[in-house]
Amino acid sequence: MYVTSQWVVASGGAEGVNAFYYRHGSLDWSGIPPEGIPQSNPGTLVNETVAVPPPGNRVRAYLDVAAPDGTPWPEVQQNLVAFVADIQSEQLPWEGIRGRCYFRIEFGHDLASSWQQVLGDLINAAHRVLVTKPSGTSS
Amino acid sequence: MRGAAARYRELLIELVLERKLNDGTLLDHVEVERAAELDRCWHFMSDTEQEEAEAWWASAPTGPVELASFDVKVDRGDQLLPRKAA
Repeated sequence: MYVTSQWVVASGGAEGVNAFYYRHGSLDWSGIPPEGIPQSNPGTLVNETVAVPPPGNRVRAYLDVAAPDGTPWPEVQQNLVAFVADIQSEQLPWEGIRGRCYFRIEFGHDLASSWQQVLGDLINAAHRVLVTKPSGTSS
Repeated sequence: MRGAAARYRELLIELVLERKLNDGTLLDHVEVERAAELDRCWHFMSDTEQEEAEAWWASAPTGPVELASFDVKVDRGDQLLPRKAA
């Protein structure tokens, strides 16, 4: 699976975090993500939460998570916390693998001083799109 | 306590995330548990580790002035990234 949350700003000034959840289905893996995932193979989009409708909004920050389909959120969060704790003093973008999860985080200089809150908002949005039932689907 | 400094950093990040995931607040007993664990780690850290941890938390990461990406409309079933380089 691939989950990404993006802090975007529209040309009119509207700002918010959009998140997208993809699954890899039969192309799933069990260990660390195969090469090319998520950049050249994000999987198939199955859900999204949109605060500022695309397209054309400038991306101010984003979080990418790739992990095997069905990876439980607590595992993602635990690995993400350890990843950020290790890499925070390095230059952006932050990219790496923890456990069986791939992470990439980037934001502009204007958000750097509030990195903790930015990261919290991005992770919150990623969590919500992962656990929220897609709209327009029946039980 | 081995790894106290590393655990201290993780705890700070966990606290931010847990608050976000719980609409900004945590139950009192959870806050108390987290504070107690932070104190325990702090106690076992050396003076240098404490100074480094404070500087780490206050520091701003360095990176690009502005990201050169824009979002893209993606529909369910698509196999496209939701952003592209400008």
